[in-house]
Amino acid sequence: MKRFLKPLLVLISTLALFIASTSTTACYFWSLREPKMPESLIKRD
Amino acid sequence: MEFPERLSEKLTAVISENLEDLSERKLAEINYGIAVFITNSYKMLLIFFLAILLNIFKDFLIAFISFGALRTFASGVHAKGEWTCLPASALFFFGIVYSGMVIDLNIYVVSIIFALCFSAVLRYAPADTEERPIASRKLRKKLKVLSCFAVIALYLASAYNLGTSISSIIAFAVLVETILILPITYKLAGSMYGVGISINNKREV
Repeated sequence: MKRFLKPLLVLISTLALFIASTSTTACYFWSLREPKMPESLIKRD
Repeated sequence: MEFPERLSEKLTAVISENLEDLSERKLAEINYGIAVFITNSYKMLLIFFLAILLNIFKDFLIAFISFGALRTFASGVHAKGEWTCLPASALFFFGIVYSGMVIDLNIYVVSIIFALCFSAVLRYAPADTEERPIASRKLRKKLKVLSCFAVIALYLASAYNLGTSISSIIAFAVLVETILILPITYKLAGSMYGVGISINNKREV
């Protein structure tokens, strides 16, 4: 179980980071509600 | 806290236990990414399923893509709670589809709708929220330009399909999304318009 768990969690983390980073520049929230974005993802000049 | 956030926190805790080398910042971003995925996916699946049941999937897809093409860049007001979001999303999408199927718009009406939407997008897009502020001026400018291009592309698509329900559905989708970026809509929904702009102004002061 542990053998598969770690790669699976790495995959989930990578996808989650991809979604998080791309949602800083484009709005994915077509479904009209959005969770609170962490400060580190807010882009500033 | 809504259930997508609760679920994402639990999953992030499992990730944190098993992958030790992740910083607090990275974990917060993973948590957010998972919450975004859960928040969007289950509602979209439900609405897609409902569209199939109502036998309007093709028209729904046109409404969904047109609405989303503009919303991706222009953003707009969002529901505060999970259980106001689902009925609101369903109401908007099916409202757009049925209005487009019933009301046949001619080129003059389509042109007026798109001209009004273009002016509103030019003035108010991108319309961010307290949850996801767009503070960068460069990014705001880029999103405004892309929103304008999206309106033009959708106008061309609507004009090309004139005389069919597709044309009206695209026009109504753009109209609804444009209404969602107006400051008056934010006021009515109890949200704050222009959070990103105020963050930028505070930094400059």
